[in-house]
Amino acid sequence: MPYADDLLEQTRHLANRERKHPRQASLRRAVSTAYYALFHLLISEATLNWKRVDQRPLLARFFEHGKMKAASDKQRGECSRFINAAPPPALGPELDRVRHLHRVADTFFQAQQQRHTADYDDATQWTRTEVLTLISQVDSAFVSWRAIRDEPAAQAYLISLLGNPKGG
Amino acid sequence: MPTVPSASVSQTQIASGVKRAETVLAPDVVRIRYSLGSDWTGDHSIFFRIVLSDDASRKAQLSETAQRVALTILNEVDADQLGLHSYFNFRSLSEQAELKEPAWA
Repeated sequence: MPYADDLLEQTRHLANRERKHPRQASLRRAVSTAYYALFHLLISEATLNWKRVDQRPLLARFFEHGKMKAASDKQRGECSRFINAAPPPALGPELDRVRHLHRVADTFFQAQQQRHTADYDDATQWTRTEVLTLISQVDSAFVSWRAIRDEPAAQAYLISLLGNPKGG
Repeated sequence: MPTVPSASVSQTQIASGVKRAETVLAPDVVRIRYSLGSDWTGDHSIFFRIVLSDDASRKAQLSETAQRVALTILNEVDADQLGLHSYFNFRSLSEQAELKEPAWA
């Protein structure tokens, strides 16, 4: 099973580890792991395009959280404008593709902030519902990604995750 | 958490949008609380805290419920137009009853 899928499986285990009273440590690790599942899914998909297999791990290290956040924010904004256009877009495969891409970019954006809170904010109390909600959203993002992974717009999104070509 | 200057956003617009969303989303949503601040990269943001009914918090429908709630709040509050990123956290009514956190009450 690919690493990203292993992380997603692990996050469910962490979130459900203590039956009655989940420990904050389990919930916080689950949140962080859910983000990293999506983070590694997208990076592994991006680096698959690199012909030299032995250099893919090196390429993966060029992705940065902040730049990926900015790219995901831009992507979800573009998708939202298409989905909410007036007149509304026709129902069909194009709209489905945009909805899937929106789900991936928006989930990444949300999960990244949650991960930051889980890893660095000791004051926040997490509940199982919060964590399971995030996991279910990441799960849906995985499904959405696999529905569109070969589409040009999805591939362009992967490239954008590296940052602005002008250095932003 | 650094706060966003209150003068720079329309508190009234946000409060009335949240109220409308609560009405539309009842009874699945028990209440919505929010605070303004900065996200981890320093962007102005609004953090929504949504208390769900125990029924709506069931595992099988969490993703769908969360998506519907977030979309409704986005439409009603229009935080993007105010230059705010929106973030959503969910907990169930019984979890909040146990934790008794004032920020979620």
